[in-house]
Amino acid sequence: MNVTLQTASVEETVALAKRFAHCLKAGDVIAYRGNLGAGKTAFTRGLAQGLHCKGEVCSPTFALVHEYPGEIPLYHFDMYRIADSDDLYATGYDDYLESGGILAIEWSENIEDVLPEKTIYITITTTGEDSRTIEISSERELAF
Amino acid sequence: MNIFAVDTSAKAVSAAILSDDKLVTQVSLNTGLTHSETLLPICQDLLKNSRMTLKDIDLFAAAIGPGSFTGLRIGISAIKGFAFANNKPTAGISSLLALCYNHTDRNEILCAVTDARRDDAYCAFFVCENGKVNRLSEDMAVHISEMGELFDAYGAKEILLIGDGAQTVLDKYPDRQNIKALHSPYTLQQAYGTGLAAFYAVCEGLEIPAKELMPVYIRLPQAQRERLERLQKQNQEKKEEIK
Repeated sequence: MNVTLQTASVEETVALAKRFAHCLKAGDVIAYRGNLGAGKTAFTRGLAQGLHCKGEVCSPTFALVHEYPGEIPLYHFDMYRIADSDDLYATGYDDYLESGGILAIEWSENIEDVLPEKTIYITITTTGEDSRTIEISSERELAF
Repeated sequence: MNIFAVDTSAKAVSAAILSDDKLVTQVSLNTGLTHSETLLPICQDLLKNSRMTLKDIDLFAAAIGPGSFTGLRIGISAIKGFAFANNKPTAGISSLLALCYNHTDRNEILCAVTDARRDDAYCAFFVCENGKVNRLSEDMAVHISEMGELFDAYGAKEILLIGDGAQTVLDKYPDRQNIKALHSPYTLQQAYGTGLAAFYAVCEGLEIPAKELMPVYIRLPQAQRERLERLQKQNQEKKEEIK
């Protein structure tokens, strides 16, 4: 399934993600594509709200991964600083994949090769100061 | 000598108490819960059920790798903490060797093999003699398709695969009559093996102070690593362009 949507503000992006979260299940992996400031963290904030996760969602650039506890926990990665497979190993990425949570990965381009099958790709493109185009691509049908 | 051993190298968490080379008590838990949640309660119960305290333990042992990055550190940290607080020595045991120390009565060549994801595996070869496990190879990280060459080195000798990667490897080499896999639950981590390996390690004077206990890491197969590095380079170039 491929769907393209427009949002006109951060709030709309968050609200969209919150609705989208309802069609996610444990084990889903979301790979973001989008430049600095495109809204990947804002989208993740919406996901966390939709999944009723605890914790403030902020960029995991330094920590590499943030865990937001919930009925289905949300694991928010930033692969910007991941240079090779040793780095990736040290994030515990493989353990998270099997943990029964949902992964949301910023800068997924850096680990393109090792994203699992059935990864949901979300591409966020800046079209104006506040406006974005959000393209969601998934093997399975997602209704939201 | 009382030995307290843990193995958190893979999905199943296990802890055991040994008296020299004899098992006193052991728990193995394969529920998918994180080791950080399950390990310490297991350790407490083992001691309580054995009417022992940490002070009664002479040696603390942990599986130090290869295996899960976070898993290993949970077990190693616990063991370091116990040993340091009680001023006792530790032993760091290869998780692959530990697997084999649960099966010292086998006559086949043992191949301990654990899943390293994306068709990679950690493996090593051993053979048993008089209750001890002797190494035939170092611990390695290989692509499963490369294991055929490793098996060739043993000709027609019987090889027994042990570990959570055993079935995956067996499926990849269906035509090899001399290769079998040991099936679950015996194929999963059991800390008795870690403890027994530690017993023999101490017999050879290989125990170390708690502060020296560290995880070991074996690099992923070369090709895999280089592919990832090539991709990083491409993406880096793209980032430069954006700037």
